[in-house]
Amino acid sequence: MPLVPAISENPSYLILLTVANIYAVFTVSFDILSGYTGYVNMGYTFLIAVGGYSAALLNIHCHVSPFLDIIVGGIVSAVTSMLLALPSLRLKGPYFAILSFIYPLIFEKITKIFYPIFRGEDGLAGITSLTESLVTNYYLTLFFAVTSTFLITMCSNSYIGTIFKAIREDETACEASGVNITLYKFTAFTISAFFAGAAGATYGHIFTLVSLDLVSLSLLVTLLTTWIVGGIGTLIGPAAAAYVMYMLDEQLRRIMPEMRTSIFCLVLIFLILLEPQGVFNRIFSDFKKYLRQGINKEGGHFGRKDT
Amino acid sequence: MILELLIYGFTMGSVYAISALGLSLIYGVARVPNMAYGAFYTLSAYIAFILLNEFSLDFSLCILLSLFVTVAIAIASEKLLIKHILANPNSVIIATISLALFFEGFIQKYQKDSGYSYAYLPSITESVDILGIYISIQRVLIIVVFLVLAVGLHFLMAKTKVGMAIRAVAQNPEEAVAVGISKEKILTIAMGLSAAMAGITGILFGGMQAMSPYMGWPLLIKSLTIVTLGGLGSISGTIMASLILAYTEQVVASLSIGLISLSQFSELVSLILLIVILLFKPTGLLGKTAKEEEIPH
Amino acid sequence: MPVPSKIESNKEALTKLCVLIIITTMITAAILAHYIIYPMFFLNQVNPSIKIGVLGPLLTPAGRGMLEGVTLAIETINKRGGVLGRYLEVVPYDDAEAGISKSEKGLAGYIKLSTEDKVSVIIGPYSSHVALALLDLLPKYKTLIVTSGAIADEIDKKIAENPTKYKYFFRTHMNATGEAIILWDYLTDICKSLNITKIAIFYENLAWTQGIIEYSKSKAQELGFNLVFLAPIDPTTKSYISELRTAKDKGAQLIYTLFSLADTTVLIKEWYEQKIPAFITGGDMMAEDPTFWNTTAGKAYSYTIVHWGFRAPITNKTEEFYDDYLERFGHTPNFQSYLAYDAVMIWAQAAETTGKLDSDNVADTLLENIYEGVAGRYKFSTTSHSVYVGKNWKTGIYVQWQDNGEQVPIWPSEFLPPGKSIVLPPWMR
Repeated sequence: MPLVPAISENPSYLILLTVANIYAVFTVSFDILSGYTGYVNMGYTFLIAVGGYSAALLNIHCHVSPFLDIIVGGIVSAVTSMLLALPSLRLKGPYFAILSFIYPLIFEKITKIFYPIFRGEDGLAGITSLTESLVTNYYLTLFFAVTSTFLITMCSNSYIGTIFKAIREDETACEASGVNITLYKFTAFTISAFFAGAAGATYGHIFTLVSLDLVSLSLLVTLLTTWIVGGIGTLIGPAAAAYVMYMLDEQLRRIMPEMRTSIFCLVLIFLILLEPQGVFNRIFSDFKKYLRQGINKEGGHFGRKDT
Repeated sequence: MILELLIYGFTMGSVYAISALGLSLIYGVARVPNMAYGAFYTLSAYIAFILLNEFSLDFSLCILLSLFVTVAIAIASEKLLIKHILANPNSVIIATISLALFFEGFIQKYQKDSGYSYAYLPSITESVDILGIYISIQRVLIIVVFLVLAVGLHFLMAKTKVGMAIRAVAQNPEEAVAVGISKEKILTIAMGLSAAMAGITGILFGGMQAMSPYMGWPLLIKSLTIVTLGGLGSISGTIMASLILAYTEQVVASLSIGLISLSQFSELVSLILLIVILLFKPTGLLGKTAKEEEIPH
Repeated sequence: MPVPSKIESNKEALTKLCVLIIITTMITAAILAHYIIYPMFFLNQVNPSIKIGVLGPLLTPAGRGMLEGVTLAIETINKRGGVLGRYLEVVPYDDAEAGISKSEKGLAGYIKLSTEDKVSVIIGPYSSHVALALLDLLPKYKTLIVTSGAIADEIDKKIAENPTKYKYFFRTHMNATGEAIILWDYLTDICKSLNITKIAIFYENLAWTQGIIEYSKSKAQELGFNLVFLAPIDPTTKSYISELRTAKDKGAQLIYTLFSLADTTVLIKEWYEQKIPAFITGGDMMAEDPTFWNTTAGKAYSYTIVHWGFRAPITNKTEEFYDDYLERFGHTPNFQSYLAYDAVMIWAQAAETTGKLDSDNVADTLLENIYEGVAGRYKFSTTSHSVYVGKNWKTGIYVQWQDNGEQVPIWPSEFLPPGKSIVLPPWMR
């Protein structure tokens, strides 16, 4: 489906697929941080919004070209992620989750208080579209999704990725073996934030506006559900799941708008109860188990083990 | 002007205190905050509203029924969900946030279908003159309820078996189990009590302002801030922290730069305070940490 | 810790079943979306009636007013034979989620109404931010907009900068500056008769108030009033005690309110409870409604609100409209009812005059003529499309809540009924 939009020239459907590409980037960059290092970033939507809003402001007031302000959005978000990374130096487990949860709430309040600049609930409108053609937009975002996934996967397969996983497994031991944990944690945050911010900016250019939806709890729940369904720590899993979950989300939005979030919540709760490691993870690990005959992978919960 | 600040700060502080005490009950026992706490607050207000307007029951009956239903929902959540995932705090946080949003969807649907543009619970709006300040009787009621609950909770925690069991589980779960206390039962009791506190807050405060499906979140954050500030396990710490938060918000709300009011910034106070405390001393500034506390106060 | 194997295998089986169900559901949903639901939108329907789109927060009081105003207009026009021999049909689209209009939904609505429903004109959107988001779609889809809301000055400024690009945007309500002009005409008179010099303004921090506040700051100075306190308020605020107290401390003698979304029953109750020594008046969507008296338990006594349409001889059509509306819907019209009704009527008249339905011709005609509506006389500026404001054009009527919930118009003075006068709150007599 993702590769052949020409089958349907319907603009609504094209936009749907285009945004799904962006969601894929959201989930992959969420996974490289929260899935790999175990620091579940409940304020992830804050990073998306920071990128989206900074690109929007640059574009609307300074007429910066979309491609440039997407990069700038990513950079601003990466720099801002330091605010989230700092507390992770001291905080364990639930405290980090609670603290990161607050950032999107602050963002929302700031946009409302400084209405003339950030436009609160109304959002910033008048952003230039990425290109004039919906089809080109689709291919560009597809390219973005594929490239991001590729880059992040390369990172995860490298030494950096191994350290990230080590941080999740046992941070103290990792530190004891001489690795500069802080540097790697910051790296994870930066990578995750850069792609989140760039994706947020791209989102703004597709809809020609950004709003508090980018920082909403329902987006957080959708992302978390997609993440778990796709498989925590598998990168490809969440990326693929993003397409299906986003389409499902949009369908629900048309049919039963108020209950849409509730349904996702129910699925999320269900997944956490039954299979916190992720649906596809279970399948993969079962499959690997079958192959290796007897070496048992530990299932269990996501998050960091030493909490 | 100062007197007004003092009195209003105290009434808001009372609301926050009731709410925060409820949260600290479950936070202490479960070792992780129940992010659906705000949802219980919202649920109780809406259930009371529905009972009142759709079924025309007497308001006192609505209050009782609503509290009952809210506590039932809370206990059901605990037994079906929370109990099983306690081992992983991150799971609990995500799951309880989802739970809150899940309930919110229903409340949103009701608000939309009911045709009421604005929903209110009855409250007593006549005002009373205290030292030259006019204050509505509803606010006086809130203060009275708060004092009663504070004393009651203290008595419960210090003198009754249940209360001591709760403290035991909160302070030292392994020893509590060794002594024969059922952690599961205590969890359920704590959840029930906590939801009741949230419910009372919802009904009292829901009467003072228009209800909205999202009204639970600011209260959750404020309660979290207070509990983190005041330290788990300390009733007086929690109360002091509630008053500090309430007064700080009041002061910020009455500031202005030149012509322009800064009252919008008062909502940021709890958020920023929480971040600052979590960054520097997550175990709380005022209260004792769970291990240190021995004597009730 | 090892988990007992029997529980583990039950859990596994359950998990696998769930996985299967989830995957099947997801695939089915995706297929449904692609093959069944989207193609439905391409069925061509040939329909002789002219479609009028309504875009707004249809479940809120404002949105309901819009839809009902449009419906009444359509029914009235159809009774006399329709427009250019064809009947009119309404096509509503709700752009709100949880009571607030969303730009994304507004955009989607405009596109759907233009491409799928092929409406000839859209009445709406109600919210300024949605209108701002839509402006750039106008040259592309060319569907005429005659809105009864969206008053932000920004819109008019954009139109003035590029009138060719935005030629399809019209508004029957005055823009924010227009509201501000009326506001200050009113305040000048009222403050003179009540001997007031110190004014505070409480306003929702949203798009429509920005222009009004800017205008007010300079106008107050020019007229010699003392603007002592400006309070921007989050529309979701639950309590106004701090702002009321500060206004009192700063010596405000009059509080002017600018609210459309916020819950002002709390504001009025708190103002009353505190016995704030300031006359309270303003623009307040909630307080327009007849039920406001009951929800505030009579504490709205002396609160004076601007009505952009009221049962008074504003034009010779006004009172008849009010009575027809009350009979048709069982409740009184709100300002959106008047303005949306006028929007349809004005469009219809332009279409009949030019004999054509296409947006270009109708837009040109709208700019040329004067219209006698139910909420005033309309003339659109050729540069910014703003409606003319003032005595012979469009004005607002300030109506005060008096004893027993009676709504008495007190300004402009020609609308003050004989034997009636302005009242003050009980503690200020």
